[in-house]
Amino acid sequence: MDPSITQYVATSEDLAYEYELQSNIENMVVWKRYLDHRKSVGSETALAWVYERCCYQFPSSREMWMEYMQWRTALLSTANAVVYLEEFEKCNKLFEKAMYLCHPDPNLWELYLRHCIRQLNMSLIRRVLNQALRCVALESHIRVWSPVIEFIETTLQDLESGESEPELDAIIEESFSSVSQTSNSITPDIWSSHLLSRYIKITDELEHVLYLVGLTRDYHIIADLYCQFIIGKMSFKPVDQPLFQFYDLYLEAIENIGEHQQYLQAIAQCMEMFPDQSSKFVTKLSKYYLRRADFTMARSVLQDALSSTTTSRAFSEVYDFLIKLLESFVSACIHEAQATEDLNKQKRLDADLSYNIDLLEHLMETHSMLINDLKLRQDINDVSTWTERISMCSSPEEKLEVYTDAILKIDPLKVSQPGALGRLWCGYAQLYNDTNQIISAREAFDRGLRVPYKFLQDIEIIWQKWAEMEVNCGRVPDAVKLLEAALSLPRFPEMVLEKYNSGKGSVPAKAITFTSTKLWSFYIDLLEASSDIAKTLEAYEKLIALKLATPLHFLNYAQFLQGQQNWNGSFKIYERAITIFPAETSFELWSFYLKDSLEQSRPTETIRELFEQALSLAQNGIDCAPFFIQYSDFEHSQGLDKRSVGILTRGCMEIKDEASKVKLWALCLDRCKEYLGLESARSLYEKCIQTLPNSKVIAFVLGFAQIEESLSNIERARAVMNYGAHLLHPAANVSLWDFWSDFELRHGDKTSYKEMLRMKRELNDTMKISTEEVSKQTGNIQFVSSTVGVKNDSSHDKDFLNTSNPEEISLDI
Amino acid sequence: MDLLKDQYSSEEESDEQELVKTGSVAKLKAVPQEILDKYHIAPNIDKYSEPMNLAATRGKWASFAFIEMRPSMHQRLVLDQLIRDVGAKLRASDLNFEPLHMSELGSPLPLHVSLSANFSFPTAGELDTFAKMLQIEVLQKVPGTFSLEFQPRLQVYDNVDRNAFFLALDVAPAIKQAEIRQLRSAVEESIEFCRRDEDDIHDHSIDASPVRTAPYTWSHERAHLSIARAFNPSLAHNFPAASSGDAWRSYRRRIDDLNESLKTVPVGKETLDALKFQCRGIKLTKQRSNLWIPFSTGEDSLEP
Repeated sequence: MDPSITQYVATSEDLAYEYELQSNIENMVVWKRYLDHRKSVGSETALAWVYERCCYQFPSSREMWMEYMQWRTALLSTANAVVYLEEFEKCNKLFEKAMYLCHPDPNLWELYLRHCIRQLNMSLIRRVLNQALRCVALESHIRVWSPVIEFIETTLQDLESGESEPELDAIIEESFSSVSQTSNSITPDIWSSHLLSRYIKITDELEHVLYLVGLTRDYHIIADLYCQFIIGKMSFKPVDQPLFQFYDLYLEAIENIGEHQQYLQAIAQCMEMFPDQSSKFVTKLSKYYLRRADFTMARSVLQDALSSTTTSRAFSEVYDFLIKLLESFVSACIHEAQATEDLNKQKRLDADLSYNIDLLEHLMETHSMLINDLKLRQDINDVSTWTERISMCSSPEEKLEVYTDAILKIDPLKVSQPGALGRLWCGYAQLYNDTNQIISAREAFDRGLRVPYKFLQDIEIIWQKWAEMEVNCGRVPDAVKLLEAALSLPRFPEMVLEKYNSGKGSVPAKAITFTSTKLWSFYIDLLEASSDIAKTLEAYEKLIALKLATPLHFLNYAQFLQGQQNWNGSFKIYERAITIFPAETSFELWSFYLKDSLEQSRPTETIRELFEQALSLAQNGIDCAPFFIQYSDFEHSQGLDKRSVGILTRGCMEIKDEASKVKLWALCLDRCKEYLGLESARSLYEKCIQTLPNSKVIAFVLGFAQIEESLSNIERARAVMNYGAHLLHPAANVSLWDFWSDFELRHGDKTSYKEMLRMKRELNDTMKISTEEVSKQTGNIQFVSSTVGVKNDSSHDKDFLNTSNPEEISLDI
Repeated sequence: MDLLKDQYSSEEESDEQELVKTGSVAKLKAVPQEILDKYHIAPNIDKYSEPMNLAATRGKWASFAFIEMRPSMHQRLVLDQLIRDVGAKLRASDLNFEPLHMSELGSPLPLHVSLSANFSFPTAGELDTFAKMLQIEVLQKVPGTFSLEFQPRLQVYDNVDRNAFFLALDVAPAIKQAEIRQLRSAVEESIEFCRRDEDDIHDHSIDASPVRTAPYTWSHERAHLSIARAFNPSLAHNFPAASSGDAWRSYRRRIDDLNESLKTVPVGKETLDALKFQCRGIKLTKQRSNLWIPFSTGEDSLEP
């Protein structure tokens, strides 16, 4: 009797199943029921005994083998493959049996491979994988590969996360010692690379596999595969990883293979393909040379890059790296020099040290100049960058060099800042002027005028500065000659101007130099100073004809003529100016014109006519109160008092500005009282009180009441005050009520006083109070309107800001 | 004299191009030749005053080959003296010669010895090819730098519009026959090389004939350096280009008379020595700039 039967068949149930198997040994259902029973009992060895008998009974049953092996591997799922080596090997043997019997089954192979991977038995994995690939159908190969690739992926990614770039100091130190430490410390994963290089032939996931290959550090395989699939292949377009990273891995591979020329070619190709990553490649190349102990090349690569980068980011990366490199090198040199006793080596180190310290200092000192270089590489036509560069130079010779460089390199048609290039030329000429080389300064100005500038400001400033230089040299006629040349008119000025305006920069600004008001003003100033009357007049007339004359030019022209005692001529100029400029500008012109006309005692009717014309400005909303006052004074001086007051009254009605209106009424009433007597003022007071707003009228009400009081018309005075009291709330009308109180004390009786108080109380109760005014009183909080309007509604903003206090609350007290 | 004093201030008397310390003021290098060449010709703004005439501007890539002389301070003084002497001699005539080495605005200007008349190409590309070809021709034909010297006599030439007379110093015959001839030949052959057909290139000769002559009538025999100009609009008025016969003969007679009078104005050896200069290359106008074509010297050529 089989001893195992006695060992495992212990219960009557076990026995019953065994008897059933005796009679139905080919019946799978019986076996399954028996296995279920064994599973419920819980004895693993007994279950295994039954499984194995079953599997041998049905050797080609993949399902049974699968079930059994799954159960067996599950038992070892948490077990340590080293500690329980025996159990794992038993399992392996079972797998071998299973695979012998069910070799085409990919599921079993996959299970076996996963079991092998659990054991981390690399040779076993590879062997089993090879067997599996030989046994399973071609379409199942990927399935067989998948556990192995997953395993490789996990292993390599763990490796990748643990690695770090060696420090620059370490690389430099290593370059001194000429013993490579960093490269030896990394062991390539040949097992993975070998398998991946096989897998890549059948997989669709080319990008992922190449990425994994890149992590193996098997540089020969990496270089081969990358050359085959990536480098220079436009069809390779990675999705998950940036292309840059593959090239980076490739560079690392060929660096480690030691193919110098290939490395240089590859890095050049990378820089071309990834211009935005150029600084990374530059630092990489520098490190490459460092690792080859070629510090000079490492530094030279960085210096070259520093003078060719075109982005700020790349510049700062390269600059920082170069500084760090030099610092590390200097430090390593010092350390090496201290350590060595070889005199020759010490000398060499001293020389290196000295050179690199100087270079380091130079780089630090010229940082701003290097930044300026960068800006110029970005835009050679940016004049402000050139100006900044000039300001960095201390000596005139250095400045001259920069000016020359700038002038030769700037394309005037690509300059976008109006006036900048012109100022640059002037600065250039000024250098010669400062050293008293006037001829050279003139030559510089002369060449500056031949530049086809886009903007008038450029050529304008050159003419101006040149003429100023001649003036400073005491050569005013030459300056005049220059400006005459500058301002010479073309045959058809309007046509030229139109062509310039529609030319969008294609017509040089030189063509429209004659439109420069700055040059015209300067020219006229020089002519006036040189007392050339005919030329001055001609210049002014040309300026006016070209429609370039400003009000100031007209005023100057008029004054110039006055200086020649040509008063009529000057008045004509005023009149021409007044017809040209809008009402706002005419006001100033009129004030000068009227002043001069009055001073020159022109005929009365002429003066009147001028005043009438000037006063018409009021209809355009211009506050010309001063003209009304002047006119009134003029008529008073003519002995026409009533007319004088009448003009002021007219002004009070025509002027729209409230403050001016109030002032003018006050003046008008004073003049009326003074010139025409108190009674005449009555009608004006009435008109005034009716015209002005309530808030401004109380002072006039009091004035009116005082007049009536003076004329002993007590009732009329009281009626005036009664009228005034109804215009404002008593709280805002304190002056009137005080005056009325005093007035009643002087002229009234108990009844009239009571009546006054009754009215005050009544008004206090019935009138609305202006919270604005109350809030302005001492101790009260005032609402202040916001100056920031609601952004979305501009029309609303305007109304909002135009009100005196939009926050005002009306209280119905 | 004030003018002279101002233009030739003591600080500028040295011809040295390098920095020289004079007292506390350091003199700077003169305006570099590169800048003068880059902005040789001012933008032509006259064309914007005219109604658009595309036919007139189409196919006009004009150029002109010449030897440039940038007179030094001393040379300018010598030229001024010479022009004053001529002015005194020709006081009786209504001509007033103005120096060409100084602009009307007081800026120094270079002088030139023409190597061709004005010519133009239909495209910019052809002008570029011409420049390259000329460079090669000059390198092949001209052995190296030479000293450009002048004959001891003054000559009057007129311009193509017949509205101005030019006072000129003729180039020394030996140089005319040797270097100038070689250079002229280089220019001619370069033009020939670039010419696609007869009508492509227009040569505006400045020959003193009443009508414009056929291309390439400019001759090395006429090589000269114009030093002053007398502008007289009445010349053009009195002598239209199309006229002939008596007017033409009278016009030529006037030039001959002037040249006869100039024979009595001596140009001393000292003056000629002062005005001779080393020619290291030629120039070619291209758009608004000048192109510098150096001679082969066996070492790096420097601009004058």
